[in-house]
Amino acid sequence: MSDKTVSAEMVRRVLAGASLCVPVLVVIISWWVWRDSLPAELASHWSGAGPADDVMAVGALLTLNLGMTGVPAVAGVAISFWPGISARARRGAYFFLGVFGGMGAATWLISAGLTMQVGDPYEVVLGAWVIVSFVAAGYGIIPFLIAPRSRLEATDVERRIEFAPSAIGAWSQTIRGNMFLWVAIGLIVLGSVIYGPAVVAGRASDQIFGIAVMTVAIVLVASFVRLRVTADWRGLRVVSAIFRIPLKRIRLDAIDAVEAAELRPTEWGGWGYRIMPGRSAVILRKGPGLIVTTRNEKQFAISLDDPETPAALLATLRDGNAGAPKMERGSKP
Amino acid sequence: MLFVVDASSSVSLAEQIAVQVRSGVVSGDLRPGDRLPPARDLAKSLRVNMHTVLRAYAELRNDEVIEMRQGRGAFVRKDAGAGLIHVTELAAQLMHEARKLGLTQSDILRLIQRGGMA
Repeated sequence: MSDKTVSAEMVRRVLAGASLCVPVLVVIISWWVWRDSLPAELASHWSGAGPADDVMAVGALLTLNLGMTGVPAVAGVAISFWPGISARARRGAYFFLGVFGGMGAATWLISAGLTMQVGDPYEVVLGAWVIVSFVAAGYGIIPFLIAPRSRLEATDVERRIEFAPSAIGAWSQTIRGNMFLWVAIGLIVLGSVIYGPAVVAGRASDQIFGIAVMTVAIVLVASFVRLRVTADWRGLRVVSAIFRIPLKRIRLDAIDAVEAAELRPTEWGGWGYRIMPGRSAVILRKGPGLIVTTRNEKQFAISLDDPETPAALLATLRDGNAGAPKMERGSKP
Repeated sequence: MLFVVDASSSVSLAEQIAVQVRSGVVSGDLRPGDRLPPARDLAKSLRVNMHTVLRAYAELRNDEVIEMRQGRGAFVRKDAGAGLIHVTELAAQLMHEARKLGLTQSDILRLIQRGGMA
């Protein structure tokens, strides 16, 4: 990993930790702004959407919410700098700390804001404001997205393939995704059960939207049943061998690193075609696969029987060592 | 599988492609029923004319290594490996016998070349 990448990751970690300080700052600032308007006691507990059934002194509730928001802030900053934590664990921690922090700030704002408005804390009705506290729990997603994603380290140094200066290489393999076949069959069966009776009864037009969605879903899934993966002077391409639909294309000049690695579905969000922030993958099984990291720090992984050869070829081609013989007449790039 | 063609080689580009498919079948990289890349795609990947790849595929079909299915592409024949594997076994046997006689690799190659001329 280059120094530039390391420093960029550190900045993102610091920003993620700093974002966890926002809830505690919201509590402190709102208390400072409202301190003269707040009654001695604030509504603190509701059994439903009706009036409050318990109250707390401002100081006690403030302390409680400062704890709920302050602990995640301190912990978030600490884990930003704590060495030896994996990026995945760090992101998970940021998420849960953000959930607590967001809920802590929302609880304080709802209790203090509504009591200040109503006056009598026992008269404060929670109503739809309960939704706000749930929405605020989603604050965890912010530090999660800011934090750097886990980068799988290369299993070994990038290999190269020796070529004669006038030679050119290309690698191609058709892979089968039996899992997609079963899912496609399942969707066909499901579609037949749901929409079959309407079609038989001549009422297909009533269900046209559902039938269209199901058809598109089946075609999409079926396009992954047979995939043709090609590595050549243009880069890496994954094409549906059945429908000839391009599913993934990474230009050679966009490739930063390429490696053969052991792919674990748990690290890529499961089996199938996975899309995550900054990462995507076609995971057919636990086992060998190719991981391509692009210059804009995105990663793509695909399960392959023999990922070493395309990895070495792409690394060789990227470095311009594979030769680029004069094209024959009639061939186009 | 990996295809490599060298424009400066004395062997034709089509023959180079055909040899690599045969080697792939013998080594097990290509298994019976495996689909070869479409000629148009392979030609683009190797920056050669599509007819060069089609010539290679036609040669492999004539040698009963692959079969061409209309509209579906080229597939390695179910019985493709047998003949090639037999030749590979003979070659291994030859190497074994020659080494027992103390022949060097260049001696063996010379013998093969002489046999091929005969």
